[in-house]
Amino acid sequence: MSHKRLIWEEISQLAAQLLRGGAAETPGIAQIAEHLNRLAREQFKANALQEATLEQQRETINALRQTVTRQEETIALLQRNHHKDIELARHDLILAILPVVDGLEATLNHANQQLERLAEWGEARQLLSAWVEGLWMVYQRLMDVLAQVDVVPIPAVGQPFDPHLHSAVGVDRSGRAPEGVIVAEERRGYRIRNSILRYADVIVSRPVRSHAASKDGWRETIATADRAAE
Amino acid sequence: MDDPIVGIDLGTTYSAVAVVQDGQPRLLTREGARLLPSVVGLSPQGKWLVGIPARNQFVFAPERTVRSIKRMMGSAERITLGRYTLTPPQISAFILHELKAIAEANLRCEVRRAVITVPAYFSDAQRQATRDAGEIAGLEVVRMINEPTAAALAYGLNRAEDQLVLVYDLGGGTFDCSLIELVAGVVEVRASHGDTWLGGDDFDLRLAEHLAHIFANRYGFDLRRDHHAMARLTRAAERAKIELSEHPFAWIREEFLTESGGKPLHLEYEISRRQFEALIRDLVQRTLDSVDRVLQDAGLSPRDLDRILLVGGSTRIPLVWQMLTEHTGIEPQMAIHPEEAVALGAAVQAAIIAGHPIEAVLVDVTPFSLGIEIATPMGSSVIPDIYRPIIRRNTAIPCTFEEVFRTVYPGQDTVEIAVYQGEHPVASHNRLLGRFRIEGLQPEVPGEPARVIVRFDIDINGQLRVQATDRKTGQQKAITVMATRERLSAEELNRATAQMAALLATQDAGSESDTLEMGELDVMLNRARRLLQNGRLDMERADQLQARIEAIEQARHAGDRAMLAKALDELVDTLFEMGV
Repeated sequence: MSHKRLIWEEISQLAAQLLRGGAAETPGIAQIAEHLNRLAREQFKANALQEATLEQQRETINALRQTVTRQEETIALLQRNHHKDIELARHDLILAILPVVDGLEATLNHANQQLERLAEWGEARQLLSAWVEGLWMVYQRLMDVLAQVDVVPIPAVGQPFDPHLHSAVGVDRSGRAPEGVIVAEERRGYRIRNSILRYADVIVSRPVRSHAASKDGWRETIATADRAAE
Repeated sequence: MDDPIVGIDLGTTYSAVAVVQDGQPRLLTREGARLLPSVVGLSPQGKWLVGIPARNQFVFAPERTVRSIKRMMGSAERITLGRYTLTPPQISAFILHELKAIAEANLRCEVRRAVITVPAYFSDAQRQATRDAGEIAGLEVVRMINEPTAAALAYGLNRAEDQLVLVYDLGGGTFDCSLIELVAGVVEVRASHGDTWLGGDDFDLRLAEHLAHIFANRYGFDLRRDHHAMARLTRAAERAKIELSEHPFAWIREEFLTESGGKPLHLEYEISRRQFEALIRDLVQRTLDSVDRVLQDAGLSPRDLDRILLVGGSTRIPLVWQMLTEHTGIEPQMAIHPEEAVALGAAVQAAIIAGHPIEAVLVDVTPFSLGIEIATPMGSSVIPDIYRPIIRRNTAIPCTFEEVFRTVYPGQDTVEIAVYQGEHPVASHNRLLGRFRIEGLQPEVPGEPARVIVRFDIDINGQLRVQATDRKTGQQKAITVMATRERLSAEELNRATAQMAALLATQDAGSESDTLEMGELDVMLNRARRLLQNGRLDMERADQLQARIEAIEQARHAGDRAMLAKALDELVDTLFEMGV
């Protein structure tokens, strides 16, 4: 700007000199023309610089605007995803705890079987019984905690097989239950609100022999079942 | 997004769908699930099932469930499901339709077009069958690309220099290896070979059998006849396999596996990575034989390769990386999730067809290897200052890796952990990030050297935590240091940052009167060049302008300020005379 103003000051001085005319110190017309030309060249240079600066500023402002827009979009996306991420992290944690629950259940089941075997109501049985009762309370507390975060077991035995809730890991040919009814639970399934945390691994009644029995036995079966928790 | 084109990896065991959004390829998920099991079924109620529910019913209703339909594509076989008889493309169409639904739920618009990947070895009939499957699912298949090509696209290799790339794809049930050549951004598959019945499931099985063997030795009880127990062992084996990819040891704890005479039998067993590696080494060797065959078919040797890309979840096993590196002399790359690379690459191809801008898949990586200094006994002496990388360069971060080390001498109770960043085999030639001592070590077996687990955790910001744990006492020491991190993408300096830099540069220049001339110089040069480019000048004037530009460049090159000022003046004169 100052560059430009200087030029215009000089030009106006020259103009004044020309208007006064004829004075001894006045340069010749050719000199004036040359001087004006030089100034115009300076003006050209200044304009070119200014244009370039303005263009750069425009581009920068545009780039900044784009950045701001993109950041606003990112912030909105992050906010949307934030809740989802917390939810997923919680699912992961609960999924890691479920095998511990399975272990506790197995322990309790086994202890109860042992108690039944110990027919005599001796001291050993009393001790074991009290001990199992304590463990049962620990288990209940754990289940209460899970229920508080909306984790509930999926009903299985006696229910009709539902591939959206259960994963079949075996079939029962005995005919003790109607076809398609779950006769045993190999691993309990859990849901959290509307989604499945872990499918229930179940044995389903299938009295008639199926024609497509797998070629390599248990391995095939496992391959279908073992990723149920994903 | 208007009428998007999605990229689909239609796999044997799993499938996935991805799209490029805002220049970034990303996988489209459903309830956090990134992969869809490639299984189709018909429920007892006559409803179609795709993915996990279909897989769930396989054991109960195998006659109404289809897995691995990809193996039957292009064949004339018919599959009977309940009262329906279907062709392989019709079955595949269910999977594609489900992926389409996943994409539509994510993108909130109709999806009508897709790029679908196929194995490089697929015949014309198999490719046509895949195309048919797309059409049945209501998808226009705008392009079919080879899976290894997709992997190369995910890594942005189409924009890199010409090169020969080996794509090593080890999935859950199949192994493929392809040699691809990139010339001027065009990808061509030169040779391909595979093993259609080899994958991660085989590794699980080996480990499960080993566990059954251990159990038999301990209790004299053969679990292999017990379906339920074997199911648990296989599941435990898969978990341990995954854990051993990051840690040198994994615990297998399966309580109440079975009982004998009313006595419960448990399995508690710690397996080392080394043991697991011994169990699967011959299987990995088989994949290397395929690698050799592919190279042989193309008349090449490993030395001719520029790069190896790892695809498929099983490539996370360190032994795969190690054996492949030893065999070829090239460190394979795995910066992009190996299960997702093919789908992401298909999405990149889709964006290229749609003419959408694509940035490279952005992955945060550690640009240098991170490791510690070790010493190795050699006869009676000890060689010190050997570098042992723990996190390899170009590993996606955040990540965690653990290795186990022994003290050099029995009875040695202190070790110093020196943490380095770099690639040089001599530790001290790398950049030292920090060091610390762990004292009071005790041997697990009296008289033997103590063992220390060194764990490296690096977070997204490049903050590296190094922790040493004495195996015997469990006592720990740790330090946290900063490692260099990098965002892997040549194009990451987008316009905005470039312009911000330009703006800052001019501001700096303004503060020093001396450099003002440089601003002027650039402005005038740009103006002159633009004039030349738009071609509106006649020959004579163009030559004149060109001469002026060259004079400036010469002066600049010579570093002669007076000459530069003069040349600039002349350029301004010329531009001014031209009135432009």
